[in-house]
Amino acid sequence: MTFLNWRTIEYDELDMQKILSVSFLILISLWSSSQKTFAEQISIGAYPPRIIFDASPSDELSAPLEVQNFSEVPVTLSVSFQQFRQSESENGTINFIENTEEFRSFLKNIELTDQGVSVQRLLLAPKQKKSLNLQISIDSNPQPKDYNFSIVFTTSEQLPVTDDIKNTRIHVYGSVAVPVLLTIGNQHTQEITIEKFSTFPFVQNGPVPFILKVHNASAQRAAVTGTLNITNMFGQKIGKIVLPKTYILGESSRYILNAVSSEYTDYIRKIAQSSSNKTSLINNIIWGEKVLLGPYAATISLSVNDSATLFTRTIYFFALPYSIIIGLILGIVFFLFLRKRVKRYLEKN
Amino acid sequence: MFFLFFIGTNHHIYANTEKLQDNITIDQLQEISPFQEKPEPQNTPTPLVESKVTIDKSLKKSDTLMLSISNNLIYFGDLTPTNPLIRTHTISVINLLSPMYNLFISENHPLINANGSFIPNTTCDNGACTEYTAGIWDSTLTFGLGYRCENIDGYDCENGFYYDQTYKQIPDESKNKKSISLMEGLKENNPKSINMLYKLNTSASQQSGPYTNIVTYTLTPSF
Repeated sequence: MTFLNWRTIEYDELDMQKILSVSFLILISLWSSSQKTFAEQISIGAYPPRIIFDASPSDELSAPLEVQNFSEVPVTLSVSFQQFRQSESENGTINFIENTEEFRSFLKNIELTDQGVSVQRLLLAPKQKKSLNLQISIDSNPQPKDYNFSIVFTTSEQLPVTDDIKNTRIHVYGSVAVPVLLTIGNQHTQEITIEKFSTFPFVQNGPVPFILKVHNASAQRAAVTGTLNITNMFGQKIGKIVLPKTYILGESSRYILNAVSSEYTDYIRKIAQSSSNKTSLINNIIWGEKVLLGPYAATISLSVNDSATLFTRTIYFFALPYSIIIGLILGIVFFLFLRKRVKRYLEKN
Repeated sequence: MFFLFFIGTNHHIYANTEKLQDNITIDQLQEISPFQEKPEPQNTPTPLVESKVTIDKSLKKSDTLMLSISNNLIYFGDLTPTNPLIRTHTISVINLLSPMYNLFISENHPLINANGSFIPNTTCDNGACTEYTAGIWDSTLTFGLGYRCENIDGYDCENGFYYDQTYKQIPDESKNKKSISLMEGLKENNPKSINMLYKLNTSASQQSGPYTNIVTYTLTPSF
């Protein structure tokens, strides 16, 4: 009997081991299949996402940057420099423009080097990353000037196999661009104005979107930092949004966005799906508080080029969750009605 | 009044506090680079003017900007008149650092064969679709090449593709057309993916192929 029990236990344990092993394998396969894989024909990346230079005459500027081939096949990248301007969305996104004559002559001062050797093309093995160096020489007596351009890394043509040459085909190239903001002899004049600061005057609940647009009237780039403080009807500070350092090109305006978390991008997405103007919805500072009631004051304080001078402006909005209030009133009415009916019933009996 | 007071004071103080980004020197870039797995002193450039370059302190090692495209060649095979061909590939974008990004698209020229004959970009069924404006393309008697963008992960396709069978033209650089945004999105932790559809339809009078051109996708973060 004992033997039988032992056999049974042994059998059960073996069975359990099998079940556990199979479950483990299933879990591992499910986990691995849920991971994002990028075994793509073209898969390239660049770092950092932007380079900011603040140069003086005769400076020799230098900044490291890296490109990586994330794919399983080798790739050849060509290097080019392309001027850009801010897009019509005025949120820091860019539109490439044709290089001006002046920039083309300035290009002789710009060099991308690999261990000291100038490069125009790069061959990257699968998964290889390459550390490069951007070098810019500034003339000894330059005019104050801003150059805004991108370093563009573009994959080169992959030749089709012989049989496919007879096929009508599209060759696909991929590029990643690293924006460079170069300002020479910046006087850091503070010709900054808050062009627009607004929100909805009435909201039912949060998140609350604010629109903040800042204009830079000076000819050269400015950097803006700041905070948005929200106070309730009792004067208590209940919200504080620290705005990321934002660069505004010379003689232009820019909407300032906060560092949006995925929670708020979901919120923006939901609205954007039913709106034809997605960009205007993106150009917001989102305050994520959801439960709101009563009057609120929102005060923006901006500092330009890390100076102590603050530009401030205050706006007001009112929150009334009327759907909740109507629900509460209906609930109270129903409760009173029910109580009256019960009372009458009890009195009759 | 008590109810108002209760709601008014029940907030999280500093509900949405973000860390202020400071400037640091480029020396620290090597420590926070996403591609840097171990020090490579032979590749580390010596900064000539350290204080002149600024990057954001909030950058982390895992942060990066990446473009992935599933195919680098799109084959259409033999062209049959009034028989529309549709080919697809997927594009994925990762943008973990910049507030926004754009993916631009352009072509070097229309599809051209060895004799210089070309397949024009479609103007859709109503003859009005352009690089900027999408239009319905359902008829087999509408010819040319067009594309449409379909979201897979995220909602970053530019406007105009809400209805099925809506297509746009690819901007033609040979006609001095500028590349236009195909995707636009915010900084996010998850990759954004789209399905890119190319539609090609030719008339009976179209010269035989093969036709080729180059379509370029350029990923750029905001500044």
